[in-house]
Amino acid sequence: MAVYSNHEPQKPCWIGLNSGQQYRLRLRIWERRQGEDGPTLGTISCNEWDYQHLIEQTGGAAGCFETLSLPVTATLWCDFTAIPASNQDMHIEINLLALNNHALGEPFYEKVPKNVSSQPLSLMLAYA
Amino acid sequence: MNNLLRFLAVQALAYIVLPANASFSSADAARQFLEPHRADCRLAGPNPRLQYCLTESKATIDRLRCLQAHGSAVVSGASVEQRDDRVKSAQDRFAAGGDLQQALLKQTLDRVKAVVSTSPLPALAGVADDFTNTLVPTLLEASGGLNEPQTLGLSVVLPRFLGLRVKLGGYSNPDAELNPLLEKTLLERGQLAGFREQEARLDLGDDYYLSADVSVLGRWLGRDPMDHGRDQSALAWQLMADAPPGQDALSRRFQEAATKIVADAAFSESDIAAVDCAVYQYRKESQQAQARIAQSGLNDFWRLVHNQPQLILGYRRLHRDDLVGADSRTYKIKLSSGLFNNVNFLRWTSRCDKHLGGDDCPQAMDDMLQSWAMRHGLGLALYFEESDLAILRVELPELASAGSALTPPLLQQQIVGDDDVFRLEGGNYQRFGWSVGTELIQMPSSDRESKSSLRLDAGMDYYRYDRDLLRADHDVSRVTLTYRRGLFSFPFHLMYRSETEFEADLGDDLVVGIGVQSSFSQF
Repeated sequence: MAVYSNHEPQKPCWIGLNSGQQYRLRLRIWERRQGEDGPTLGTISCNEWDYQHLIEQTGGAAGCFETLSLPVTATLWCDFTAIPASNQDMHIEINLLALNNHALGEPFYEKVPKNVSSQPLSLMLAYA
Repeated sequence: MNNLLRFLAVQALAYIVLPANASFSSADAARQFLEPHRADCRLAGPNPRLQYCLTESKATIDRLRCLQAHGSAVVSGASVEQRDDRVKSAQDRFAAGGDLQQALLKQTLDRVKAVVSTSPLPALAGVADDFTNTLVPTLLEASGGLNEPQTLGLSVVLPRFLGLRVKLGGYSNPDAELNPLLEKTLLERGQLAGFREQEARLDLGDDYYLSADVSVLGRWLGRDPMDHGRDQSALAWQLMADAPPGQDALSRRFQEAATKIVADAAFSESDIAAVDCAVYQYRKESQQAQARIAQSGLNDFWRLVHNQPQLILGYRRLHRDDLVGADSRTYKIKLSSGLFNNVNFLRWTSRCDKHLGGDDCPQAMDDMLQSWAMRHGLGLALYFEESDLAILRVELPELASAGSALTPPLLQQQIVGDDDVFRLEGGNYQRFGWSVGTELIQMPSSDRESKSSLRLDAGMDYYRYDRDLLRADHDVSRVTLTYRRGLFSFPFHLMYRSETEFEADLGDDLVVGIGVQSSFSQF
């Protein structure tokens, strides 16, 4: 069974991950200023501690400008909370990659407006 | 002894059986984790939609999607009711007003106003140098010294390298004038009128400078978001999670337990109730976390970053036509910082540790964001500058009559001498300065942002000269009132000089100036 994506707004979802196979989530966050992308002054957090730890290690949401790789080894359903800076919209893109860096399914994209206090993103990754 | 043998036999059997039935064991553990919390949910019974969906779904994937879509109908049902109530309430208000169209128009205008007025103003416009991460040139920016408000120029910020960020700039004076000392000499010699024509021909290339500034970046210095994202994220965890760092939040573990049960095909009505309970707990905690974030100032954390201290090392090469003044090389070190309104001050409070940890740190951040020093952008700048001036030499026309040479004026005797050459020795100077600024008014303001403001900056410079006795030590006091609107700032300078560079006594000790400046990269 092939891996496929079934995203909804604020709900990135990949289904049919192969048992025993490892994957990576590639998270990229940015702001757009004068037509150029740059690191965000907003914040991101995740209630899955392993992911939260990696987010902190990489420098928070600003560090995710250069993309952050998160390991996937089991079925997972967790919430990212995006907190945009009040002066810029926050852009988030999530890709699921096989270990050979091949992107699986469609990338997930969400723009979190600057006037929103926070935006939860419920991620679901389901192994077959 | 019999009991011991029975115990060992059970253990051995479990060792053989459990690995073959690992999924059951995992789900069973999940049940045990969820059961004690069922009472918290106050559910009348299993959620019928979830029960139907789970019963009909055979594949694990479908059951997981069931869980995501239909789990915890009690909570989502309440949300729908609340939303319906809000809609109904709004409709009632409009109806009570008697003019639905007017209400809708007002709503639309409010939305437009919210969009238009969301250009925030940096808190330290008058003190902090702009080293934001962009390659877009900052146009029409005033020079670093407020005693040179007339310069126009362009600067480009290069990408960060080795913890440093470099800004290259070029500035020019569009209204170059005669050197005051030369002007006075010419006046005494009766030759000023002839030089006015040359002065009028001076252009942008006759009084300009090139500059390079290096900003030091890091957690304690500089305003790069890359240096503060980690602390920011940790702060968010403290607001959201009920678990200390290193552990999953309880809501996350609830959800994990529910997922394990759903992944197991053998579930009972009781299991479904437990799953629903888990999702209820998860969503309730999530909503509470979102509410805590909404009440916190995390969206405005960037303002604390924006007020971080900046240490800047600068070099400036000034090129001037001899009629205007001497060329110079200047080296400068400048420290500017927000006062009681930046990340460092937050770290130094007893309520936070140096990584912004501590249970009370989110509240301390919120208090700082609401403080007077933050709302008014209180800031301080200190700087030291060393410069050396080149020798200045201008050939003057011979005096028309020998009569005037019989009583040579003082300046002519000292500077021009007998060879009709205006010559001014080079000199070195040191400049010590400070500046304090605060925002007086923000107008009009929405909840957290404003689109225009009035700012007051005050400061003093002291110039000390050596190498040339003609140059006079002096100090400059200044007050700058800056009106900012949108992208542009309109500074009004009021400057008092105890003396000019030379003891020219031209009566210009009080200087008034109006300027315009903008820094698009701040937005």
